[in-house]
Amino acid sequence: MSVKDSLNLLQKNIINFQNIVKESIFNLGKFKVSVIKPNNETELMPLSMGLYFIRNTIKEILNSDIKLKDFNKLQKTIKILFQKFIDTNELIKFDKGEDLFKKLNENDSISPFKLLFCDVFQEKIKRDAFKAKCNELKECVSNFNSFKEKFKELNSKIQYFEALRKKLEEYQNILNSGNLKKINQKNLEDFRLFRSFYPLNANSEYLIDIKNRSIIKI
Amino acid sequence: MGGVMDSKEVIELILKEIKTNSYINISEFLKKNKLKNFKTKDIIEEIERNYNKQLILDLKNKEVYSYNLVYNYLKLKLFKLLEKGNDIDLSSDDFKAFKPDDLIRIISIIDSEFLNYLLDNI
Repeated sequence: MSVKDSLNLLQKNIINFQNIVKESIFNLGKFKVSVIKPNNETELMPLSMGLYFIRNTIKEILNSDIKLKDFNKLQKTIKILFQKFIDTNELIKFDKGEDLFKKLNENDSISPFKLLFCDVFQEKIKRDAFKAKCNELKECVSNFNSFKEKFKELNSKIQYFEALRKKLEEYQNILNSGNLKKINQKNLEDFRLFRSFYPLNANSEYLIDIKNRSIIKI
Repeated sequence: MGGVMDSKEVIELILKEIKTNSYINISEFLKKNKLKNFKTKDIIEEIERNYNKQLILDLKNKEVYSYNLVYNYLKLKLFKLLEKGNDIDLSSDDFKAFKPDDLIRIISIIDSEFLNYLLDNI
């Protein structure tokens, strides 16, 4: 996606956000938000006006040479807007909790860890281990050079899980089809792994016949 | 090896490496793969022209990052700033590794996603 496309998408999303906020939030007029103006001055204005300000600023950036210094001012205002919502209970059904970073990372619509929280892995991933990884990344996020090392480590784990998930889905399809011969042709170790990711009550009618190196149905 | 490969084939090699290792140093990568005769300039042009959805060049054109690495760094940076309640400043050292256009386009995407996340909770 080009810079222009991304900014156009952001403008579209701001308009959508503004429409929904107007319809959904009672007494919107009482909420105010600070914006950073082109001359770097800060102005406090009603929230709905703040959203108009953001829309117009994106339009102005799109109509000129797109410069980082202009986008930086816009981003400061957008960050203030996000913060206003996160911090205001009357605007949002949102409990920040004790650890916002962890809370955001647990949400599969925005988290880079969403794979770890999907379907089959939910049973096996240890919450404490996840929290520890999350804290490690949080420490590293102050410095890109440390972050890229930590990300590399985590990414290779995620790649492993991705490959594993494909295998697990494949085995589930074979079990569903009832054609166990297909499993016999494959590596039995993969099937053991598959079994280890499922609670015993699921698929427990299937056993590994070690002597004949095959899967049997009880 | 270097003589017979074109820039697209070298990019394919880079993509493969980055899938697991998330980033490379261009000159070290060329050396490691015995592509010494290959011009860094050609690779940079190819990435900028055709691969900016998957690969991000650093400001000095010395390293190549996976899109996911940069996207997640910027996203987690936003999460941390929101948690602490601190201001964001794209001209600070925290963002100096990236080109302005990459910063603007990736952060705009993250902003769009975050707006939708807020809408889910309104």
